[in-house]
Amino acid sequence: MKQVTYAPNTEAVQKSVLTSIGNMMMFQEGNNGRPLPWFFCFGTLLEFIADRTFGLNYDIDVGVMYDDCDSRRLMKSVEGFGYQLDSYVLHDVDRRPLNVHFKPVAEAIKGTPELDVYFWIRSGKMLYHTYDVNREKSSILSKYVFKGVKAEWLQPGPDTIKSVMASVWGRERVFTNQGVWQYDIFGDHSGYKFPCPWKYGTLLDEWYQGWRDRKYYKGQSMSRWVKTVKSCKDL
Amino acid sequence: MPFFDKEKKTKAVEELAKIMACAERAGISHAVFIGFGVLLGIIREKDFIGNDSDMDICINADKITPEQELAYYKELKAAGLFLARRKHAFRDVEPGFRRSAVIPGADNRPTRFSWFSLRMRAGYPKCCNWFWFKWNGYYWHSKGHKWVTQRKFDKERYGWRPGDAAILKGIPADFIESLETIRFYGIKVNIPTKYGSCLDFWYPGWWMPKGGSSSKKIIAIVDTWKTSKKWRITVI
Repeated sequence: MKQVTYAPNTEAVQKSVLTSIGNMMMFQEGNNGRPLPWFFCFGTLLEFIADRTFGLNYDIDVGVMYDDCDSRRLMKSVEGFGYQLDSYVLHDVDRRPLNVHFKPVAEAIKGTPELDVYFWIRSGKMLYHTYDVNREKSSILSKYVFKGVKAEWLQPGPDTIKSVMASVWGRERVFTNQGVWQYDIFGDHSGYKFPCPWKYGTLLDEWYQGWRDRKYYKGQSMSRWVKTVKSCKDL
Repeated sequence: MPFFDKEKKTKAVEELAKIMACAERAGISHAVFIGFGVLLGIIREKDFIGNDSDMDICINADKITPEQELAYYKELKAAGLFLARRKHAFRDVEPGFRRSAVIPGADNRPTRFSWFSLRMRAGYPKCCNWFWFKWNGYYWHSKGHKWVTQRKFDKERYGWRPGDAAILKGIPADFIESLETIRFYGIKVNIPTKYGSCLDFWYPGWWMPKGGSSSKKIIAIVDTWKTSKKWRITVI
C-alpha cells in the first residue's frame, strides 16, 4: 500500500509555506518599479484575524492589484515554487488573469494547501474580484460575477499612508509604505510576516457577517456590491 | 503589571453585570452597547485587555427618551454605582453654567447626558457611559465642555475657540446603528454588528496590541447646544 505523507499543520510547516509565498511575492514588481503590494484575503485573512492562526486546511487566498501586477511574471514565479497552474479566469478583453488557482505539484507533501490569487480590478471608487462563480470551467466566462469592496479599504490614499508611516506603526515596520499591515504572526521576531490589507476588520464585516464567532459564515464571501456582466469591459 | 489582572477582571465583571441590570430596569438595554477598549478586548482577546484602565458603555441616546436616560442614572445611583466616582457632562449646558443631573432643563424636561463616569467602589474599574446622538451622517460622543481644552484637543489642529460649548468625536452612523447580543463572562451585552469597522476606525492596526485612546478622525466643534447651525465638522 502506498504511504502518503500529509503536511501537518504545525508551526514549522506554516513557516515553510509562508516563506514560499513570501519569496514568490518578494521579487514581483509593481508598475512603479517598487515591490508589488500583496496581502492575504478572504478565508486566510479571516482565520488569522479571528483565530490568530495561519491555517493550512483550506486554500490560501492572496490578493494583488490587477492594474499593478505583471501577471505573467507572477504566474511563472508561483510555478517555480512547487505549484502548477490548475485553472484560471481571464479578462475577456485584456486576456489577463483575474483569478488563478494553483495546485501543489505531485512531488509536494500531501496536504500542502492550494493557492488562489485574486487580481483586484478597479472601477471608479470600487475594487472588484471575480472567479468562476457559476462553475463554467472555462477561462473566458459567459457571465462574470464581480464582487466589490470600497477601494479605500484595500488601498489607503497617500496621505493616509504618510500619516500612518509617521506613527509608531511605521517606525516598528508594522505598516509598509504600500499601505499594507505586516504582522509578526508567530510573535517571535523571526521575520515571518503576515500581510493584511489596510481595513481588515471592515473587510471581514463585509465578507463574513458575524465573523467573530462564525455565526453566519457559510464559506463564501458576501458583498453588497455585486455586478454580473457579460463582458469585463462593462464593469 | 497589567491593570486588568485576575482580581480586577472579577470586579469589572461584577460592576458590568450591575450596570446592565440597571439598564434593563430603566428599559434601555436595547440601546446599550460595549465600545472602545472592552470591545477591542472581546474581539481580539475574547477577554478584557490587560493594559486597559477602564470600561466604556455606550448608549444610543436617540433610541431612548430623556426620561429613560434619567431613570437609568437613578437606577445606577440607587445600586450604589456612583459611590466611588461620579462625574458628568450634559448636552444642553452652555459654557459657564453648572447643572445637576436632577434639575430639569429649560423646558422642564430632564436634561440630556453627554457622558458620565462611575465607579462602584475603590479598586473597581472606572466606567464611562457615553451617550451617542446622530447628526449629519455621524454618531457623536463627547465629554461636553470638559474636552474644550488644549490638553485634550490641540487648538490649532482642531480649530476650537474659547467659549465653545463642546467638542465631539464622531463615527460614521452605520457603524453603530445595528447591534448584536453576545455573552461576555456570562453577561448579556450588545456589541455593534460592524465591530471590525469600529475597531479599524478607532484603533487602526488593532490586531497588534498598542496603547492609546481611540483616534480623533472626525471631530465636531459645538459653539452652542441651542442650535447646530454653526457646528463645524473636521475630518482629519
